[in-house]
Amino acid sequence: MRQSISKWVFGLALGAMLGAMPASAAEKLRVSIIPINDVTPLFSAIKQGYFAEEGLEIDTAPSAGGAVGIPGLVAGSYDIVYGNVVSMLLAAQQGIDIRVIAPGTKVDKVEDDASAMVVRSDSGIATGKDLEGKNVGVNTRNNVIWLYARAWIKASGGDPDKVTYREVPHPQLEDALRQKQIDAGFMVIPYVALATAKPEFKAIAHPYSTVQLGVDVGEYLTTSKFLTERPETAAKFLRALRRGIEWYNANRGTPPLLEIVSGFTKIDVELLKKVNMSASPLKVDPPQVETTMKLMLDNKLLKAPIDVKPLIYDKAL
Amino acid sequence: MKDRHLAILIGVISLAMVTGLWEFVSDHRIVSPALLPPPSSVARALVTLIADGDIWQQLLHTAALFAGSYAIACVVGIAVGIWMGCSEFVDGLLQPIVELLRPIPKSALVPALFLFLGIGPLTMVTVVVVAAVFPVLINVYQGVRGLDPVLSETARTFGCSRWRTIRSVVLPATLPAIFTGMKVALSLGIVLAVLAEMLAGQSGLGFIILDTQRAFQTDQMYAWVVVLAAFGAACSLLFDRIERFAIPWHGR
Amino acid sequence: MAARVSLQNVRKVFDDGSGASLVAIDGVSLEATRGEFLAIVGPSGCGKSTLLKIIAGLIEPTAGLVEEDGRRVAGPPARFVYLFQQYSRSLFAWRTVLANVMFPLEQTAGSRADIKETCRRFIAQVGLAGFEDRYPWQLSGGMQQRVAIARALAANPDVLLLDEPFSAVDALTRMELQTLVLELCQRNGFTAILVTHDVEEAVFMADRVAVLTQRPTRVAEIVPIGLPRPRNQLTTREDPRFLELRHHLMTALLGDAVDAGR
Repeated sequence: MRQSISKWVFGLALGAMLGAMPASAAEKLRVSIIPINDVTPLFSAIKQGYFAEEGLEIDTAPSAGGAVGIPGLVAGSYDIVYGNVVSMLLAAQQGIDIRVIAPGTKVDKVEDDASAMVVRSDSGIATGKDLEGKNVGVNTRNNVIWLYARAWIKASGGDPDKVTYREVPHPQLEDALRQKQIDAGFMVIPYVALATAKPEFKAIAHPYSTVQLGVDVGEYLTTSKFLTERPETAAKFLRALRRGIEWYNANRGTPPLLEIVSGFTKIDVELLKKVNMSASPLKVDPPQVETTMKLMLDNKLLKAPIDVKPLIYDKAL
Repeated sequence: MKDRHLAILIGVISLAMVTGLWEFVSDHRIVSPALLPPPSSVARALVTLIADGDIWQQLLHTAALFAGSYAIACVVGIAVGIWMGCSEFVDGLLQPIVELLRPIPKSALVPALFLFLGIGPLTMVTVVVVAAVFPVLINVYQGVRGLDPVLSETARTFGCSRWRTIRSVVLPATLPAIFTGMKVALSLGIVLAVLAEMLAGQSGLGFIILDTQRAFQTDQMYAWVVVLAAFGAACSLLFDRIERFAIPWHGR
Repeated sequence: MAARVSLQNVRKVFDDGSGASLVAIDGVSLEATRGEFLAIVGPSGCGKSTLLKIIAGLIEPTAGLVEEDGRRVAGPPARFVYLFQQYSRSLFAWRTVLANVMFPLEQTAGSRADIKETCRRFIAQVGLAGFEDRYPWQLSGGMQQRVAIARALAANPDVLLLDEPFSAVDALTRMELQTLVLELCQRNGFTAILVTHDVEEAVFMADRVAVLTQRPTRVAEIVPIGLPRPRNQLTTREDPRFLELRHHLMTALLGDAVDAGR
């Protein structure tokens, strides 16, 4: 009996030593993503091995939006979250320890603004006023989609408070619109292209470029704790992601890139060929974030102005 | 000190201790106050939403949704439960459907219901009714089936017709079971009303709790949760009062 | 009023669930004449209660016949009332004493006020005047049994069937209730059939006592009780004839039990 116990102990100790030896110690990062085109550069960087070259292994998990991902960030379930500028500022206002680590998506040119307010072709809805008393689908409330939908409604003559905003995740907006559960949906790439390719739907407006051309819509978010405790990892992440952004910008429309998009959205490559993808920015744009912040103040979403600059990772500027 | 007073005192003290611990943990940032705001700020948010009158619109919406649906569920559950209990034919007909649907957690049916019925007040009511009807139905059914044979034989020895037996003996004898079912359906109904509001509502406690969470206004969110808890407790107390009044003989 | 009750070769066979059959009652023939008080005693498990329920029409016999004044009984006859051993379960907990007693009369014609009056009289007859508005849970066991008796009276029966009605009350209450039932029988002239395990009670109350055997149950013997009426709890029980009868019946029962043990 004694003999077999000591054999066990020896075996365990050996195993522990072997396990502790750094074989290929890739650092794991859990990243929450939204299955929209904004994160294609991230997946491109993974596919091209840019993260592996930096010694990082990226573990992705989908969510409905930043408003859902950020609580996960705070709770420690994720290291990095792809979220939107509005949710980021709301979190910052409430004292949540949040920082922007990398740029995401921007709408620089009108002709590149593919995201749109989409309606059923036969509904006769054309302006924000037409939407009063009706339902608009947004992926979550109190985020950038919701805010700019409201801003556009106001700009086109409607009262945003007379419109109901229903939460419908991006992949389900088209179905909800078809089944009349919503009367309009603020859709983004690639879903917007798929919907508007069908005659039953049409795009009536591009809220982002109409309300604020150049808006920084989404960014990668993390905590200040992450930036201070793991500064090398943060720098590595940003480096690899930027290589992914450059690769994405250069390869838009090519089969390898469409394969990548198909991988995380589960949409057929054939359908994706029709999608017009805009370029992704390499830097975060603080003045644009400030403009968004002011829009939020006007909409009573923020109680007081926020100093935007300190929230952004200096390397991301 | 009387036993009852002592029990209340102990309850108050333990509640105070938990609240104190909560305040301490939050103030000293053991847990981030963004996640768990201190009870003092939750209390402030609560006072604000009562003072501003915001509380009424949301509370009334949830209360109306719940009350209306609950009433429908009780009526249907009692009627069908008695019918199934008294008629072998109806029992044979409906039993398989009941047994099929009963084990399914009704919150799992909610997305399917929204898909089929669309998003609107009708669906919300249906959701709550579907959830609340089963505990009532099953308790009533078992109450009728479990009728003390001494009571049914008493009715027989006095020559009661089937209809008179149901009306004058089965129904009153089953009242305790009816109330038991309705009590379970009460909490279940509130849960599902709030869930339906979270998923597809435009107002109500479920909607506002989700909305404040989306905006990371956690102190307000917790304040609304307190309102919801108070609502649930009030319904429960009211129910107990009514039960004691309606079936004074039960449990004696 | 009274009716003549007769049993002819009543047999009851139960299916014990596994396919085997259990012969509970194997041919019982009995008769209770009009206005007679018949007691039935027997060892435990001999199916006394089953027999009484068959007489009451609550259980169907497998074979044999129960007749009321020469007419065959099929289903609870209108003029038979069965009083339960578990009287507190048979009372309607949700009704007051008065409402309980009114129950049998609610399906007859008559103004509610008249019915109430009649029932108050029955309640007074059983000695519960003043308790009309109480609920059963507020009464003692003996009082609850009185309510059951009053309710039975309200049904205006010809035949009263009593299933060990006093076994669940204390000795003194038992004696009060025995006296009460005998008075009511005297006044109203019912035919009464009492099932009891208490030999002394049988001798005290009955005109004749039928002794049943162990299962499969038959009538072992029928003992006439020639004691004078009205019976008195003290003097009747001290009567030497009472003791003889008691002795005789106890021997019959104990012997039967001993026999069954062999």
